[in-house]
Amino acid sequence: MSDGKLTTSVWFARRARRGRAWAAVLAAVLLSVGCGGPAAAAAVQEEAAEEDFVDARPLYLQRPFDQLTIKRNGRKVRIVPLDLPVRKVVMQRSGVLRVRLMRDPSEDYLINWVDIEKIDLYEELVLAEANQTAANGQMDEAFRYFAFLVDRYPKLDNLESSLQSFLFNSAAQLAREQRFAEALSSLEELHGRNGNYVGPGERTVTSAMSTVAAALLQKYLAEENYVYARQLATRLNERYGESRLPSLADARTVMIERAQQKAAEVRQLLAANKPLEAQAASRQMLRIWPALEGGLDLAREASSSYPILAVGVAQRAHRLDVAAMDDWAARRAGRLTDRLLVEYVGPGPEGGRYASVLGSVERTDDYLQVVFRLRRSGDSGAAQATAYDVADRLLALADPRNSSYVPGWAELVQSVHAEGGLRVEVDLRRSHVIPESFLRVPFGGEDDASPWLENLRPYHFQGRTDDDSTAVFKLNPDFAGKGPQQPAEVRERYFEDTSQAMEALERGDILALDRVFPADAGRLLAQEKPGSVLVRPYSAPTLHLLVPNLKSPYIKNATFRRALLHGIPRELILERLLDGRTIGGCRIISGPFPAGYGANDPMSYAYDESLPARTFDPGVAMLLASMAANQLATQAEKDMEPPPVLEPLILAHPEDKAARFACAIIAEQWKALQIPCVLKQLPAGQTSDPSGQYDLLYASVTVYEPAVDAQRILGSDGLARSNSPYIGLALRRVQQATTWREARQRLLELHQLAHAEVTMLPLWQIIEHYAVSRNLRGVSPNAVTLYQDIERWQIEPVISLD
Amino acid sequence: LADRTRDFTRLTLARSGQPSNRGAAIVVVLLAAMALVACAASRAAAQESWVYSPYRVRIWVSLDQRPPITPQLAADVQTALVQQAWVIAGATWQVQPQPAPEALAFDILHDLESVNDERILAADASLSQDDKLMLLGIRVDGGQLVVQAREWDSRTRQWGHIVRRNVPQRELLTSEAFRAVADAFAPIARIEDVRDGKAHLRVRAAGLVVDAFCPAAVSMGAILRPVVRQNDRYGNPRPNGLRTIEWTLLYVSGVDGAMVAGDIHSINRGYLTGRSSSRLERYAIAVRTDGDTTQVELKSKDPSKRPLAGYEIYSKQPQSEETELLGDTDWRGRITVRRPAEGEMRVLYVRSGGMLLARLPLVPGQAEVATVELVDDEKRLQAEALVRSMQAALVEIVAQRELLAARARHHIQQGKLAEAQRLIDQFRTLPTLSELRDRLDRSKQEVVSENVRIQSRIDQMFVETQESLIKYIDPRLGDVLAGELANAQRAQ
Repeated sequence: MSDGKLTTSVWFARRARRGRAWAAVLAAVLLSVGCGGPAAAAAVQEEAAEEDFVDARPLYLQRPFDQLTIKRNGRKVRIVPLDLPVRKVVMQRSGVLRVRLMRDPSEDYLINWVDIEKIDLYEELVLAEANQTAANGQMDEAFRYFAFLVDRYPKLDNLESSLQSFLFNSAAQLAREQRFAEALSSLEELHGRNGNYVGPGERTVTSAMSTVAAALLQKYLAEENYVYARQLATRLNERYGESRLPSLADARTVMIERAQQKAAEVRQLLAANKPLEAQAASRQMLRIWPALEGGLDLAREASSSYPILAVGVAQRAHRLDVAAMDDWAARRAGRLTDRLLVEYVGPGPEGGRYASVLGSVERTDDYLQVVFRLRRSGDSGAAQATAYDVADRLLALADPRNSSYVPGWAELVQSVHAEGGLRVEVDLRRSHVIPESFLRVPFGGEDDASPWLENLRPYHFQGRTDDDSTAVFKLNPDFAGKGPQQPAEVRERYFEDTSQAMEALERGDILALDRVFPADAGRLLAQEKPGSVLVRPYSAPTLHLLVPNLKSPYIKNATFRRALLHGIPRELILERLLDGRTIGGCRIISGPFPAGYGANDPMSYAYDESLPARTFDPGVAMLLASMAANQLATQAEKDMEPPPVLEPLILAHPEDKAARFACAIIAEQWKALQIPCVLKQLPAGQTSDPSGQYDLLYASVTVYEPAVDAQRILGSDGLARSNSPYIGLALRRVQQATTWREARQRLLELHQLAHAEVTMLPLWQIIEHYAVSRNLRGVSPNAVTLYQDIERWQIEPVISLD
Repeated sequence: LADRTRDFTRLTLARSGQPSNRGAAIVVVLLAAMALVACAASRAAAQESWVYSPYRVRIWVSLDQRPPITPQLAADVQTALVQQAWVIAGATWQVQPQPAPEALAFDILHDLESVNDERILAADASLSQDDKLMLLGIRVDGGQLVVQAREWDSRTRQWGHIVRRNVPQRELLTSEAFRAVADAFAPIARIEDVRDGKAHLRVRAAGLVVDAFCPAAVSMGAILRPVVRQNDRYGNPRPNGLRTIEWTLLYVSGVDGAMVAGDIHSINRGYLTGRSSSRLERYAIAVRTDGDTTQVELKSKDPSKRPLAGYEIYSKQPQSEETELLGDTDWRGRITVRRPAEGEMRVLYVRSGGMLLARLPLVPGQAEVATVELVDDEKRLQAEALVRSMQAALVEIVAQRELLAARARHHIQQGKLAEAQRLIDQFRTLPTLSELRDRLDRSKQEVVSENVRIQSRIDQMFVETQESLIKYIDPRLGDVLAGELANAQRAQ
């Protein structure tokens, strides 16, 4: 610091001394200006003598100046660029030239023309330096000089010829350095300026281009970078023609030959009944030469013989449960191995829309009956469910002794009738807004192995690779709903980083990505262009929550839970998750129900928009935490027990990136508020902690039908395991609602109550996105789960995009 | 019972070596009994008769008429009943086995539950002179013998639970038949007095009981269920004069000879108040069951009788203070209660929110389903939920107000008036007292109960919350802060 001051003061001192000298010089100059003559020239010379430093920077980076050479002693003086109508100096034999020195542009000087040896204009000086730099072999630096001149002084004499020479020489040097792409670029530039250019050794620019292009193509082919090779050859051919660049034809021939070899390999592998290897070879074939005659058909043949779908996943599925609400991966992969009796297929104007793989499911206008109409599929060979099978299952769901007992359904069902093998009628005790939603349960019980049940399982889980990175599912040959081109095998490949997954998707290594990181989704949606992958939102958002484990006295205390919520910077975390972007529907929430895209979104029917989400306020958080401690101490005193000690909170979270990121910030923030907290990452693929050794669990849940799912979230046997009688009552009132108006009103009450009691700590809602290649046909634009329509999917061979 | 039988066998063997002692004891008892009978006119004599006379136990036996049951086996069963009764029950039972009346024989074999008071009294009106009638059916089912027995107490006309036994070996039939009868037998006691939460009872034939294994014995920890009998002037039960006191059990906590003390566990302790007389007799019969679970069903007292779902059920042992949460009643208003690891009886507490609604004593397994009707508490609970929400909101609002006020004052002191103004503006966005009161009033209108008592409780909750609002929310605080800021601005 002291050195800096010293340096500054020294500089000021020098400026001051120079100022005094300048005052004396100015007096002399003024005298000279009045009479002109040798005195003036002498003054200019003295001024020039004052130029005691040289700017070492390249000329094009310096302030423009012209250079005046004094005849008497050959001294060069930098002057402010002359104001000439055309930047060209015509030397005079008499008279004076009015100039201003670069060092003191405020004063004019007059100098006799006869005393001037010559005047070099700034641009001429730059060109001279450019040529010298090029001659020294500093081509990159010389390029900057020429770029400057072309931009600022395009009409400079000799510039074009110097430039062309430079481009040719530069290309030669780059080629010697194996920098063929840059060499070709220089030559193309030269060709654009002068197609007839002939360089040293009578070498034409076209011949040089052909040589360099050949070298570059050879390099690409050696690296098997066929996309670049094709792009280059195509472009050069379009611009110059093969007749002028004969090396292009050679490269094309090489690529076609290699593609033909691959095609032969594909045919051999197909003949040997090795579809996996044949598909890999066909992908390589199309990568080499997509336009190979018959190539695409051959790839289709390889693909259709055994269509394999590679899917990138952000979370591994370590259990398969198509009905799981809080386990994204289990629900996704569970759809491959199991179907539900009734499936949610998307939001509707009043609750969700539902369908059954068995046929149709409808409710009567009075909401007092649910009717299944079973569809009989054509091939009668396979065992199919009859109305009696379905009736049995519907009754089992209402039987408390059954392991898959659904209390809500049991409360509604009065009787079940099977008619004629294809029709099942369920009479309800009372009307319910959406009774079929209770039937989102697997077809069979745990130990049920009926043949018809087996025929409803689309895929069989085959296992995982040794490194646990890929899970393999094979199509069930007896699957009743098999589509004509349905993938024969699904390979779920885990990516820790979704950006790598996106690259794999663009390369065609995978054809779908199940969950795009929110920030990536925002970026990709903004960048999406035709011909690349498609990024689409799922039809239902995920709700991110902290689920309290009510075993510790502090977590049991609602005031303390409020304190925790006030201590989470939710807006900040969400903003970071979205990378500062705004994605419709991604927002902070005040309760455990979907807020959808706003109050007018039918999906948000359970969400009370009038309820403000608790804001991040460390002061309020600390005050509430202190109040909670007082409450607990008072209660302990009443119970004649010691007051409970606040042990470090254990915040458990799954392995996925968003959860890791959010929980790290939350824990740090709580620590800052004197609320100790430690993180606990759950094992791979796990979203809950059966040991119960945690205080709060980060969960992302998907709630399709709040009118029915409320119990699964907030009930005593649900995710929250709430033992609050008020929540219990509110849930029963929702269950007993007979009209949508009533259901909605009661759900809003439930939301208010859950908000007041902080039954769960609501964080934010994320609109999840999936990404698919355009080569995957038949994917729903707004899927509920990734594999919702996999029976209709069709894989097109991947052709590398040029 | 198996243990009891084993022990009894040991006892019998021991006794068999000392026949003279037993005979002497019986003679003494009989003499004593005869002496008491002689003074039957007096009350004291009546008590002696109650304590020192044996149960008159009639057994109606119905046997299948097919192999392996033979007439000889049937005769053997009747003989064995008398012999084993003497061995096991000793002098406490005076057994009279006989073939079941024709009209009932089939149902005793195949549909024991269908046999009722009217049918047995129609078959033999003299039954009311006995203490107990035991129905014993022995049938062949699936290649094995099935024995079932059920008790009918003639004094209270109460039916006991049905005891069933499968007997794979024919040789075991006689002993198993008696065991079934012994297991079905439930001793009876007369409630003499009720005070301080205890009933004092005199046990029938207690003077003749010589050991704890006797079926007539009532030991510590036994569970009794009280029955009231209203008599006409002739001492016969009045029409509908016999009734079980619902959801009331006595837990025997003291034994003193023929007298036992039973802790009263009842849904309503008033049920057992009052005095006994010749017109109003109060008895208690021992609870016998071999079931494991009972589904307790809660229904509303109002005419709708709707299931009371979601009510919390806690449980405790009668002699313990520790309670455990069993769970909530389901949509049917039911919860399954299992037999505890220790003891037989549980006391269930039914709670709704912060309110205890009922105390239900229960021996799990005594009945498959036990229904109780309670006041529907839903409206009160709904009101409690609203009030709790409001109180929770109040805590947060008060915290936010106080913090903002403190921060604003700090900034005023520091001369940062613009920042103070921002905080005061933020303060003014918080709900005001009048807004909170309006919200509370609207909530109050949402919950109205037709039950006066419940409405009174609801009103009380809202009044208390309103008082809290007034106490903790100072409506002038915003203006006070604004005034302090204005003063500071003038001073600057």
